[in-house]
Amino acid sequence: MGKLLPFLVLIAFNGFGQVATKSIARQGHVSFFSYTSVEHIKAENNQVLSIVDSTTGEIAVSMLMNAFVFEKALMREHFNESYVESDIYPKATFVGTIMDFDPTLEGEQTRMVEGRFNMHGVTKELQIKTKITRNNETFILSGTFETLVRDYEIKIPPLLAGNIAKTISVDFNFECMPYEN
Amino acid sequence: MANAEPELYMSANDLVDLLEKKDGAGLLSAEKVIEITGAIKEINKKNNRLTVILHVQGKEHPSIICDMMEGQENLIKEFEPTDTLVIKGVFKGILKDAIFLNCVVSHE
Repeated sequence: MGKLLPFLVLIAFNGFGQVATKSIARQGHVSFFSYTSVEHIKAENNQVLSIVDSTTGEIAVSMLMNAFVFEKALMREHFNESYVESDIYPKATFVGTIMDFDPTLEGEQTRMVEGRFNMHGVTKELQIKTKITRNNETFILSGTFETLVRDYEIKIPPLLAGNIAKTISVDFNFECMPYEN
Repeated sequence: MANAEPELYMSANDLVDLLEKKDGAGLLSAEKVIEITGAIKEINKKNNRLTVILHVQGKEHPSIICDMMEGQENLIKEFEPTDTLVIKGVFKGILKDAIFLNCVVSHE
């Protein structure tokens, strides 16, 4: 978050040296799924922050790891205390750019979003295929991607290894509204 | 949550004032149950969740986002923006707004 905050401030105060058009989602949705033969685990976070600068195509996302909601309390406890250690690493962040973004295009466009995702203290470069729907002044960004648990140095005890998939599927949906300071 | 005893009782304004202080956020550790009194800015059902956003007087942002527990619809439907509401919930942290989950109407 230390690196993300200045970026968010830059976006918020038109710091890119041009007249920026910013959009914000304060209640963005991120969910992830882990499917194994032993157990299916799903968690949802409905308060994900996302800011898009449509002039530059830059995007910043931040979420609280302890705001993921699970079906079972024990899953939530294991996730926060043992896997993502949300007291030590409370936020996950993504900072990137929507490639070839045309903010004037009404309706749908599919674009690659390239950037750096930080979770559990580990930063990885990601390229995410993203559907962007413009409806008047609102941009809806949505998509799905897969990521490896081991990439983020999340240690699963051998006893529970069969319960957690090696590859996690992540869905996201950000409805970004015009943002004025 | 309905029977949980809040650890803190605060107005929406005091909560945000505290969070904006340099060391204030440290005083409000995540997972604390807090009862907040504030004016309703917005009620919405984004992501199929009932959410109440409390307004902080004199500021457009930050706000307080309260993700309501199931079964709160009947209580919330009586309220409109600008009405004062008392909500208790679990403080999760702050992004651009303060975020609370498992919220219930404490009293009207």
